[in-house]
Amino acid sequence: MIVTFPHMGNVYIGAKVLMEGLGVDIVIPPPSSDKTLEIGSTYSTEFICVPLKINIGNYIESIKKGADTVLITGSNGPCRFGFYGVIEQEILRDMGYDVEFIIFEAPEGDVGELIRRIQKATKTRNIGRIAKQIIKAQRAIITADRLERDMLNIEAREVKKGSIRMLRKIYKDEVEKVKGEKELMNLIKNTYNEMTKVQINKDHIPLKIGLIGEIYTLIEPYINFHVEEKLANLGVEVHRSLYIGDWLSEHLVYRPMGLTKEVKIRKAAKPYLDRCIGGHAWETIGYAAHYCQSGYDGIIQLLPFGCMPEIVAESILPTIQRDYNIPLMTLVLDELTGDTGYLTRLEAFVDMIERKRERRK
Amino acid sequence: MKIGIPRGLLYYYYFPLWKTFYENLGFKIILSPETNKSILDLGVKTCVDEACLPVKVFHGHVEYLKDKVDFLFIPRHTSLSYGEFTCPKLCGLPEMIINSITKLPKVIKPDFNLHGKNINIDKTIKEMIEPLNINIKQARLAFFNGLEQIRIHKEKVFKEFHFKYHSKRLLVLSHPYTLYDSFINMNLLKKLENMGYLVITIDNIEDIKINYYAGKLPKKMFWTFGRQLIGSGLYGIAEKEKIGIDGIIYLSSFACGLDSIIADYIERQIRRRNNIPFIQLIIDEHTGEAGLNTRIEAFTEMMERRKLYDSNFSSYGKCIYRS
Repeated sequence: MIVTFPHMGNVYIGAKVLMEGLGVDIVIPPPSSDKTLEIGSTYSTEFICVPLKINIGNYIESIKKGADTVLITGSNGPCRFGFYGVIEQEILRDMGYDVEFIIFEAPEGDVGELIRRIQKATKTRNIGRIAKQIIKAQRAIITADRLERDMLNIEAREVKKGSIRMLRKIYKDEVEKVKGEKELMNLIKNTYNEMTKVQINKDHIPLKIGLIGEIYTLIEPYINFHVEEKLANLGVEVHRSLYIGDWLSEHLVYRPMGLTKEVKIRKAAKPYLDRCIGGHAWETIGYAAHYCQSGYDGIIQLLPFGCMPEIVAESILPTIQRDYNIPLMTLVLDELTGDTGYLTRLEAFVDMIERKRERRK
Repeated sequence: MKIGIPRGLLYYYYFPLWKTFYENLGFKIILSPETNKSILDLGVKTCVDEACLPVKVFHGHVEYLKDKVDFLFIPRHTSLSYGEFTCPKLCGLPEMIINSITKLPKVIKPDFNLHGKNINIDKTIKEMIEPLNINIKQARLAFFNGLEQIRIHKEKVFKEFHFKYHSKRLLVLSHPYTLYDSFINMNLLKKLENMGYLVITIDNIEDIKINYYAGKLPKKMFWTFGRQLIGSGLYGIAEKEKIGIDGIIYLSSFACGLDSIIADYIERQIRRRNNIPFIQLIIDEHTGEAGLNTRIEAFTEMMERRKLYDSNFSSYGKCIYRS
C-alpha cells in the first residue's frame, strides 16, 4: 500500500511526519501547478468547485508516481466537501484507475469505524503509537505555519526587497527532502536563524490587511496565486484567518469536548450571522467583524466560484463594510482566473487603502 | 395587518402551511405574483452575482413585496428531515435578504430545523409569531391545522398524477423551485405535455423507492433534495421498464452546488450502463427560449427514433451484433 493525499497548504508536512514516523510508504504529490489544474478540470464535472479539480490533478500525478491508496477527510455538513470522496472515487474509476479510498470520517456518528479506518491507513493497530505520531505531526504543522507567518511579517518590513523570497524558496526546496520530525525541526530552526540576518526597516508602518474566506482558497498558495506573498511584497502586513494547524486543533481537540477557541469570533459574528450554515461562512463573517474592530485597514475575501456558504457570506459583507467603514474586496477564484488581472486588482486595492490612511492622518 | 409571502424557493412545498397558519390567526396574506421579467430583473439587480437563479428570483419577489406589506415572511429551512440539511443558501436565506435589500419592513424569519433528535417545533412557532402579539396556544392549533393542509396537498399531487394515463413517459429531475416556476424553466412541463409526454417528477415517486435507491450510495446523502433527486434518478435507471420512462431530463440552474454532485453521479451511472437517454438542461437569467426548445425537441425526437428503429444501431465503439 502506497498512500497519497491532496495538497492543501502545509498539510503535506504533517502527513510526511505522520506516515514516515509510522513506516507507511507515502507519495507526496508534486506541488500544484497549471498542469495539475488542467488534468483536474478536464476530467471532473463542470460546476464543481475548484478544490476538487485540483485534488483530482494531485491524485493523478501521485498515481503516476506509484500511489495506490488515497487518504482524504470527510464531513457531514451542508457543504459539498462531504461528497468529495464519493465523487472523486467515481471520477478516478471512469478514468480507469483502480485506487482505494480511505475517507477519515465517522459515518453517521460511528466513531469505531473511524478508528478502524485510521488503523487501516496507518497499518498498525496500536492506537497509542498513532496518537503519539498525530501529536508530532500536529506540532510540525503548527511550527511550519508559524514560520510562514513570521516570514511574511518580515517580508513586509524588509529593507532589501526579495531577500525573504530567496529564503522561502530555499526552505520550500529543502522541506520536501527532509525525513522525519527531527530533521524538519532543525530545518525550521536554521531558517529562523537566517531570517534574523535580514535587515528590517523600523520606520515603515505597514498597512494591515485581513484575509478571510473559504479554507482551501486561503490555505493553498497555488489557487490564490500566492496572495500573501504578493501582498507582503507590496509592503503590507497580512493576517490570514484560518491556518490548517489551528483548524485541526479546533476540530480534533476542542470541538469533541464541546469547547471552542472561537468564542471571540462568534461574538463578533452575532449581529450578522448567528449560526453555522456550513463551510466557513460563520468564520468568514466573524473574522471580518473582528478585523474591523481591531483596526485593520482592509479586508479581502477569497472564494472558489460557486461556493454555497461563501455566497451567503459575500452578501452579508457589504453591511459590515458599511458599519465599520473599512474597504472590503471579494476575489472569486476558478480555473479561468488570470494572474495579471488578479495582481492589478490587488495593487489597486492596496493603493486605495494607502491613500485612505494618508487622508485620515 | 398584511403579511407578504414571496413566491419563490420552498413556497412550492410549504405554502399551504404558511397560508393556513396566518389566515387562522386572522392575518391577510399578500402573495407576490408569478415570476415575470420585471421580478427577475429586480432580483438580478439586488442579489450577489454568484448566487443561483432561484435565489435571485426570490430576491426579486421580496423587492416587489417590500412596500406593499407590514410584515415579510422569509423562512429559514435549515433541515427538512432527520439527519439531513438543505442547501447552505436556504440556511442563510434571511441573512442574504436582509443584507442585500434595503428598507425592508419587519421580517419574520422562523427557523424550520428537523435535524437533531430533539425537534423543537414550539420554538419555530414562537419565531413565526414573534412580532405579531398572538397567544401561543392559538398559534399551536393553527400550526397543526397547517400541517394537515400540507398532507392533503401532497396526497392530492400524488393522486392526481396516478389517475392520468399516457403511453409516453419522461422523468424530469429538478429542485421544486425550478421545476414548478414556469417562468424560470420557460414552461418546460407544459411543453413536454404538449408533445404528448407524461412528466414524472420527484413528487410522484414513492418515498420507499427513493429511500431504497438513495441508500445504495456509498455514503449517506445529507441533502434532502439531493436524496430525493438521486433516489429517483437511480430508480429511473434501474427500473426503467417498470415505470415505463423513455428518458431522463435533468433541469438544473447554473452554478447549483447540489446539482454539480448529483447530476454528475447520475450521468456517470447512465454512461456505464448505456440504457436510457439523458440530457442536462442548464438555465440561468441569460438562457434563451429558442435554444431550450431546440434541445428539448432534438431530445424527444431522438427518444422516439430510438424506440422505432435505432435500437439495434451501434453507438461508437460498440459491437453491432445484438443477441
